[in-house]
Amino acid sequence: MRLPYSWLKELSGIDWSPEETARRLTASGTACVLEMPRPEHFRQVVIGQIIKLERHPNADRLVVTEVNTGDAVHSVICGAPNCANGQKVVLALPGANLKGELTVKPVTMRGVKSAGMICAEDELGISADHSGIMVLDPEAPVGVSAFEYLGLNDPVCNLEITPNRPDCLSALGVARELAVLAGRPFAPAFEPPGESADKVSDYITITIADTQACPRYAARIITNLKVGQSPWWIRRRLLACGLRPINNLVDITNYVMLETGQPLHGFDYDRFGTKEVVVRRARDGEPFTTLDGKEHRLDPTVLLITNGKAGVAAAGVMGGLESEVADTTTTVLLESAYFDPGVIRKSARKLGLSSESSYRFERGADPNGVVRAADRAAVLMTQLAGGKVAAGVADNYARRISPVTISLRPAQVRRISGADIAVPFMEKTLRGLGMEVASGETLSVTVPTYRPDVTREIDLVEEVTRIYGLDSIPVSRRNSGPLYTPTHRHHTIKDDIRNILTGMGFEETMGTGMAHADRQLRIDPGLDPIRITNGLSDEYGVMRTRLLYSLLLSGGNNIRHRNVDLAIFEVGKVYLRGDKEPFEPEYVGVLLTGKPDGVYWKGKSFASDLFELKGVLAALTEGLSLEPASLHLEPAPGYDPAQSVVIRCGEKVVGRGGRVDRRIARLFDIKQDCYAAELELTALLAAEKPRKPFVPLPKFPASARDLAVIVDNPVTADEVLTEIKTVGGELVESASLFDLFTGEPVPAGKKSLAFSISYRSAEKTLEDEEVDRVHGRIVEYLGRKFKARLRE
Amino acid sequence: MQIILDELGRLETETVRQIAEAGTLETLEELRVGVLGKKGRLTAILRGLKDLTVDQKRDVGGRANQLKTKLEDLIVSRREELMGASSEAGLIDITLPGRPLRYGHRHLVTVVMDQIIDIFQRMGFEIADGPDIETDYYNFSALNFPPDHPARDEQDTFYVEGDRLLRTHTSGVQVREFEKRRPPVKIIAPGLVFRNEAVNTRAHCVFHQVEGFYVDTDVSFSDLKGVLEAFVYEFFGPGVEMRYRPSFFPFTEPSAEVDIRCFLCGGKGCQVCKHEGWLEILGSGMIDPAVFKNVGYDSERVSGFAFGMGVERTAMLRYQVNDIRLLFENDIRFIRQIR
Repeated sequence: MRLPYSWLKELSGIDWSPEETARRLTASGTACVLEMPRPEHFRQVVIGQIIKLERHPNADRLVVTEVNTGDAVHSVICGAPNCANGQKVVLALPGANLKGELTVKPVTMRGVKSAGMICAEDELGISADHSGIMVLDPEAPVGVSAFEYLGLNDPVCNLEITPNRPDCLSALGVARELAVLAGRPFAPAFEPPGESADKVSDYITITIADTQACPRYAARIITNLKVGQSPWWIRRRLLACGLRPINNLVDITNYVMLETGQPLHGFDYDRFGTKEVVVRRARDGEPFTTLDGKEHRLDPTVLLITNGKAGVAAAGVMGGLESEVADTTTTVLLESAYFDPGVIRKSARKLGLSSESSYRFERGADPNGVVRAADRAAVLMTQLAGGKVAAGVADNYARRISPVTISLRPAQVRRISGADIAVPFMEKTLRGLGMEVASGETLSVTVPTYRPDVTREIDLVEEVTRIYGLDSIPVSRRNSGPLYTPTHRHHTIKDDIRNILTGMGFEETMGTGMAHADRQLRIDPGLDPIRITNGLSDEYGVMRTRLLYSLLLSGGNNIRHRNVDLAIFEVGKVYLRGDKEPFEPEYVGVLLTGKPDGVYWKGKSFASDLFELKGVLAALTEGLSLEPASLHLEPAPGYDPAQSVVIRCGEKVVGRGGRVDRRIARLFDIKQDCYAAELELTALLAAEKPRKPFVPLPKFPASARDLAVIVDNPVTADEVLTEIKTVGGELVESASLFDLFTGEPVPAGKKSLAFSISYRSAEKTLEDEEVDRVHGRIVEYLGRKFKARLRE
Repeated sequence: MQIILDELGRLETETVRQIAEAGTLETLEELRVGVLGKKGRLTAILRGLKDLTVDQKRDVGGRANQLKTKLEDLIVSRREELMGASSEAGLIDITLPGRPLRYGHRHLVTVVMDQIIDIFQRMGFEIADGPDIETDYYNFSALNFPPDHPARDEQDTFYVEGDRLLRTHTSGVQVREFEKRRPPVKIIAPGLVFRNEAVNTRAHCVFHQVEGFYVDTDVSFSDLKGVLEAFVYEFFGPGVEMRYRPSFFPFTEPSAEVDIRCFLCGGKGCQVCKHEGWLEILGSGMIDPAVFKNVGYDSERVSGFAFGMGVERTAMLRYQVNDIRLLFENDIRFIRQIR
């Protein structure tokens, strides 16, 4: 909310600078940012009076005026439709630099000289209005700086009011805060309006059908009104608060709302239709047109103000078009009511409308402040629109809302704050906030109804501490709490994974957890994703069911930027439908594409492939101390059926991977092969090897032998290796494939596999003969089992 | 015999010169084999001694052995020299790139999240987490957000099928942990949160939060200030000026937003602090008795504080990232800049 500094200063009586005011408000919970005046934008901008006005000889739409600024008369051309002789106007003279953007210079327009510019509000930066020039009050002093006369030397306090503080949605509310902060008394004076001989009861009666939704409805009748422009001081304040001035009657209701926080509504009494106000729920399908011209079909969520026959206003939200105050209005039915916050909130939502009025009612107006606000508006209508106020207030207070009384134990303030706040300070603060305080061992505090947020002792604790100042509470530098706080493996494993994968050159990416439904389903048609029912866009339409989605999204983003060589990983949740509630397993996913190792002048660089992926998985599982990973060809959704694998650690399935299905990669603008794997964290945790005692290092030397065999293509390396180990028994310490060769001289349909075998005994140094014997047995056995032939 | 001695003399002169001239270990080894090896020249001479008399043997043998020792010593020391500076000196272009070994980077959010978590773990906070897909109860009701209250508007919510929502804050973990534990409870809960807002440079519909809370028999706002000061001093630097602005969160009372002096302009006002001189870094407060009531804690016996901070925001401040979308686009050129 925006409020001019001068208004707050006037109401609170403080003598703080704007900066100090903003600082104190911020430190007590009403965040305030100042918008400072810009005098440089009003240099050479003065008040003038049009003393002569003639048609421009060469232009139909222009007039040539003479503007008197006291010490001189300036000839100025004006194109505004509302320009008239005798008006007091704002004149920008040559040299002015309006809004810091527009420099005014003497010009010649169609042969006539113009020595300045008569300004519209938007040109001065006061509002967005460019419908015509700004016309000032007749008593505006000619020759005076517009900056000062218009009160533009006044900073505006831009206030952030938290939803619990409806009282601060008003100048008086914020002024009360300032007064209590300054330790000043605060008792705003209200004068009741002088009343005429007419009786309000002759004009209107009020019936409330739903007293839960509308505990109180009050009205005043003001007659003999003359609609016109409001005086500048009201318009200036409305503009500073961000409201558009309309006419004196509407402006007064808005002004009093800004001043008191009580939304008011003025009906044109002559067009109201009847002599009764009936407040009731709207009927299903009941039509109603709000004053913005929108037609609505209502239902009972909307509380309706009616004239007993039809709706005249959506209570607390917006008035109706039919009975809106118009230029011809002479009698006003002035509504000042209290509506239930929840009812107005639902009603405003139903109508799809939010107004200054609904904003305040939703947060809570003051049921006991309605008559004062009506009185205040009535006084202004007599003063500024010539109105006469009918005697009495039509006030139906059907469900009384009374102030509550709460006990406050001073010790509780100290217990919660940790500050040694004195009881007199507590009492003074609460009284300053408008509460009644009965002293004693515990304070008995009666809270005014404009503070609906204060209902419990803790609320009073907050009031005292925020005025005391949270910055004044001492800082405790003790550490306390449980001495032992365990770490959890399901957290630390993620750290381990990140260490291992970044160590292997993978960059960590971060997805949003949300996914595009179609693309997600293409990856895994078998998993029906959880849908977001009020999503912003298709991109965030469902929850992701596979980490592969995010990896491909990140991959695509990079490839689009020509980062085509990628090794990335992500650790995160996927979201699956569960039996009773959603299930959110965590995964680690890796993706390789292009040549992430880059080029090397000493040798050729490899493009990522399934075996790089396999190597990564082996290193990852080794780094995590898991059972060794093994890959098994098996189709998996999202991956190319010919190159997809299930990943096991020992016997347990921990994930799947492979070459990403090229059709799916295309959905993410990826036209190069990607290799990815997704591993589930709880499965990885389950595959952790138990901690084993240290195995002593071998005492005796090993003997190495190489073995190259030619076998039929379908024979796998693993089968051969298994046999080598089986046949060699304990003496084979390790065996590894070091070469795979096909083509001449290896016959077609066959391949040569070369293994390096290390023989070692734990008991003795092996004799060459002994090794030869075992090695020979292996050769012989492989020959029989696989029809393998030794390659020379 | 003189012939033999002459030969030894020639061999000595020649070999000593050759040893000195040997430029590589290989040449030196060839030389050694050629002279001292099984079939070497000196070995051959020594072998020829068998035809001589005892006296001659003694004279020539002594001389030959002397020479053998001398040459061996010379070879050893020349070998040492050669090993110290290989022949490739001057032939290497050291500007050639090394073998490319990749080193990856953690995501900015992880880096900052880890730093935050680490600080609080050192203060004795235990890590806990909760589901991202939450119920209204844990995300709102149990945290004292009344139904149909404007406080809910502050957190635009994504709803999912089955009457659930995407959590708008990690504060729901408070309630879940309170239900499982009895005080003292001292926990931080990091995690992903969601807001139904249009994505722009400053706001994303997804971000990470770290929630912290501590409930014990005797916890006050003063203790909250101590913990937050310790965090700020460790994370942003010792002595960084802080301020507490009273604010409103339904689940804490009193509530406070915590600002630090803008570390970019020192408080003079700059673009990052929007010319206010302060940077908002977290929200905090004393846990509302209504929350305790919902989990069966007696607010007369225990009290506690809670705080929560946005990780992306903190990360962006620290690295002066001006567009939050960069964090989720995962361009590796961005990720690689993070240290």
